[in-house]
Amino acid sequence: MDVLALETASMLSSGGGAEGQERELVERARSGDQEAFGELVRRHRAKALGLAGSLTKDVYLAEDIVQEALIRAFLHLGTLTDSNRFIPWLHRIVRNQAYMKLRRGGPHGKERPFVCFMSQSGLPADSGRNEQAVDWSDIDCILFHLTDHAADEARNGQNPEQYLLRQEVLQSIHMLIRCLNKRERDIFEARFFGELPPAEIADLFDTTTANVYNTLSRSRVKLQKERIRISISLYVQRRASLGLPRRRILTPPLI
Amino acid sequence: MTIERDWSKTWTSAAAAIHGAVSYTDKKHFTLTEVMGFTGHAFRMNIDPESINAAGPTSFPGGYILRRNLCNLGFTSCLADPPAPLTPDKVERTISLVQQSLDRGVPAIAFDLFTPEFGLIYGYDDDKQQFYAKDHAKDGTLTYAQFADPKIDLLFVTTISESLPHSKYETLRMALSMIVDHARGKEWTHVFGDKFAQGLAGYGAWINVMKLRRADEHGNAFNISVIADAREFAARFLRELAFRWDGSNVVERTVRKHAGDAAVHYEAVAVAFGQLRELFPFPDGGQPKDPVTADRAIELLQQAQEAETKGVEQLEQLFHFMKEYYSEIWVN
Repeated sequence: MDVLALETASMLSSGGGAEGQERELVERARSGDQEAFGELVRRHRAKALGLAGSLTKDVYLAEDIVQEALIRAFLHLGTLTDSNRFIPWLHRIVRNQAYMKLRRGGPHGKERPFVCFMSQSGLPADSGRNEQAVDWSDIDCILFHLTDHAADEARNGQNPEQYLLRQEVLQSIHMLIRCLNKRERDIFEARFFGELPPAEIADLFDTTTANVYNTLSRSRVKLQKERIRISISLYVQRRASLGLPRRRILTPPLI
Repeated sequence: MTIERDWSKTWTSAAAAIHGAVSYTDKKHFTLTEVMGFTGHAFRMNIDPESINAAGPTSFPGGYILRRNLCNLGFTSCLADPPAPLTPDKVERTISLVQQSLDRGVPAIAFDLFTPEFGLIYGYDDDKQQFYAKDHAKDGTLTYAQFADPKIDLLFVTTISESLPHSKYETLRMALSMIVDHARGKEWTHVFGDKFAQGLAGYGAWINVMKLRRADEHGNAFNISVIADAREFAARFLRELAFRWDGSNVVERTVRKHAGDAAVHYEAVAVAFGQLRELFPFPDGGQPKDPVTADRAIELLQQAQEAETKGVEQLEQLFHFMKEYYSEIWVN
């Protein structure tokens, strides 16, 4: 792993010239500016890919890892306290992703959805692979489906960056999680993105395991409602794009 | 005997909603009395044998009963009843079903819009993402998201699709089939199983609760109000049948006879329930646990039971007779 440390160090030292601009981009991205995040992705994707590639020795797996890492980075940008630390932070995410992939059996494990195997939810690794089989009442599968969808788009599309940032997918995850309050969100993210078992989360947040379960359960209900709300908005947009009637109000009935 | 009252309102929200929706179709000539009769709602009784809970009157498989009701009236229909937790796909398809009906100019029948009763959705606005709806509690709006978050464990919508030509023989025969099946406890109850006493068996269950002094004040009064109202419609419906089937052929004569005889019995049922209603006014419900009052209630329930049993026998005979005749016009 010494090689890795060296590579990381070399990457960290590069890009010092445009530091101020870089920090500004991170700040903008943190406040939800998708364009700024897109610019960050364009700047750092190649290096992140290089890092992931050196770790896995597999170009396709590296691609997957970077996509997943970027999704995570996007989701967690708000938790980054020092905008100067963006690059090392992103690379740490890439490394974590890569180690997890490798633990799962290297290139052959690349089809594994990160949310499912990280959540320790007991879901079989292949659950939800099929679009029709997505269980929308199970948040693990929803998150898996969304990220998987994003990864597919990125893999198959002409312009991976653009597809990676496809607003409807990323925004869905983002909006889903936004409906939670700060504490629920922290606990939820610790569970689903931070791969922690509830007992450890309880320690981390200085609460009981029962409380963590309650929070998770409440969060799931909120996410379920939010998911429905989002899908209704998309449904209404779709009707509009198909030119279907927007409004029809009959005479109120006499009942 | 004629009962004086407002015949444009009923306590049976399912029939009110069906009548409301039907009045936007080519069959707008159906009166609420006819809808109450031909759907069998005027003849229903669904009793909670524990405490005469207020849930009784609406605890039936809504999709099955309402679509059969619409079929009796000569309509094909559609149903959405996806169970909770709802998936986005099912929510979209249910909203779409409502919108398709509204685009055809007919409101959709739904449950638990503003209150746990049947009501109608009569408009939609995609820009505001809201429905315009009405039930007996409220005329107002609810957002698509509120609609997709039902308090009961499913999202219920029935819509009318096509109106079919239907002979009066067929309409009456199908109505009698439902009425008799329900009275004899043969109606399919789906998830409710044998949790409620259906039809004539409801009297035994009710009398038993009264004997045990266990009637819930609110529920007892609500059931009485619903059934008193329903039987008044039943009597009026049968009187109208006897009056309108005025032909000279054997079918018309037989309908006239049985409907006329049954009307007398159902009027007696309505009178007994009218007295029960005075004893146990909704919503407070009086004192059903008080021994003297409960015993008086038992007497009235027995009177109603006796009369209704005779009424059902008449309708049963009429049903078995009607099963054999199909012709729209019969000169004989």
